[in-house]
Amino acid sequence: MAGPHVDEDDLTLLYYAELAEADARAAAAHLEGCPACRGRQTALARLLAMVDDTETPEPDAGFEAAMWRRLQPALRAARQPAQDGVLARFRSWLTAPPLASGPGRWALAGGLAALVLAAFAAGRLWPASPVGPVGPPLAATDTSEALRERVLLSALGDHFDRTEAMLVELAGTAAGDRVSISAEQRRAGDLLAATRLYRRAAVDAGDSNVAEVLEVLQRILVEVTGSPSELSAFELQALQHRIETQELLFKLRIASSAVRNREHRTRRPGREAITGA
Amino acid sequence: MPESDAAVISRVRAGDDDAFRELVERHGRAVFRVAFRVTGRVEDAEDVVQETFLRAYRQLNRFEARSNVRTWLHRIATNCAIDLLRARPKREVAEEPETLERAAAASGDDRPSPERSVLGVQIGERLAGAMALLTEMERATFTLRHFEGLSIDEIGGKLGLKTNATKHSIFRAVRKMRRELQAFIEV
Repeated sequence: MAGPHVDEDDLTLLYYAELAEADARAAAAHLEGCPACRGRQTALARLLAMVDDTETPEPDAGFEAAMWRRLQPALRAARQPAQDGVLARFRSWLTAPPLASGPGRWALAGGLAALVLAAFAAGRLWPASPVGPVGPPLAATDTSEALRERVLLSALGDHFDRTEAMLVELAGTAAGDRVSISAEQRRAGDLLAATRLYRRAAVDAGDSNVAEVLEVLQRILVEVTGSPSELSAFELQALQHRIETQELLFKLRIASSAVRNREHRTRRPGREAITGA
Repeated sequence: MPESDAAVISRVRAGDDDAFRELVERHGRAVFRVAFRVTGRVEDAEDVVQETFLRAYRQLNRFEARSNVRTWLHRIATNCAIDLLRARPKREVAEEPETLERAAAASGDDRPSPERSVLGVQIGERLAGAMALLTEMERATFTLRHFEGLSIDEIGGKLGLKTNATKHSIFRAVRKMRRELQAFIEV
């Protein structure tokens, strides 16, 4: 029998053709004369062949349509020039009539999220988290950039506030025999789509604080939308308990306040005094 | 005869955005499977699908007509899934050795039935259980090597791991799966 036995790690590398050439030759020579190692090699090959059959969950029948609905606003935003399109689209969303399929203001949240994503795609609009001493107000150096930032931060702050309002209602719902949460679910569904887009933009921009809060939100929104529309007292209390133990409302208030502060710093000095007069 | 992917892409390039929906319809599920294998979570996989098609849309002008659309989308999806794993806080939850021992012991106690269908179901359940035992990083490294065919060096480069760390992550994944499926691989 040539050389030492081939251990499982080297057998794995051999399977994937990742063993260094000299080691692979030595292993092959040993395997030829060692039935025990060959047996382990065969078992490993059988194991990895089984793994090929691993099933993945099959998306629902409406997966493609739902994905297309999620993609459309982002694609629309992606094909419009970021420079002159951002504010025009924001205005159009503000003035657009409510969508037939749902309350307009919740649909607006998704549109604004797409705006954030598209704007981030332009590579320059996700506002940097303040680290260390705060510099001069952004508006003082670039008014149009600051205006865009303010719009984006304002949209994100509103998103946090809307999510908080929905969760407060859910957390405060009195438990009866059966409680309908279908209204909250509809709102959660709209908020979820926007949350995903905001999170993606925040992750891409490296804003880990905002991304973390949005991830926690996303999980609870997925849970709310995926729950039965009527909950038993026990189910409702379990959901409320999770909102409470994860300190979601507290985290949301902190995040909203941080975003509002960042938004405030983008304002031109003296602007409040002028508009407030 | 259905229109080829390349022809659909030409229509999108010519300004027909509805044609892009055709690509989502044709390849969305396959992209989801790639994304799920790497991320291991349905909601993450859905995010990856969305991001994949968005990136594909932005990169349409870089797509070469002779390339395979499916392969191109899979490559984008793999990168998106890796970006997602790298960007989010680590959620490495290493299983306690006792858990693995229990899993291995359970495999030995419960010999599969001879019927192929029953055996298939049992293997599928054990596989799912084994995959659930993997940490996020073990799952990603193993999946990228086994299913997506990336080399260990490539995986290390993409995930920001040293070659040795990448190898050991794959070794741990294989060991966990072997323990879970021991009963089915012994002759």
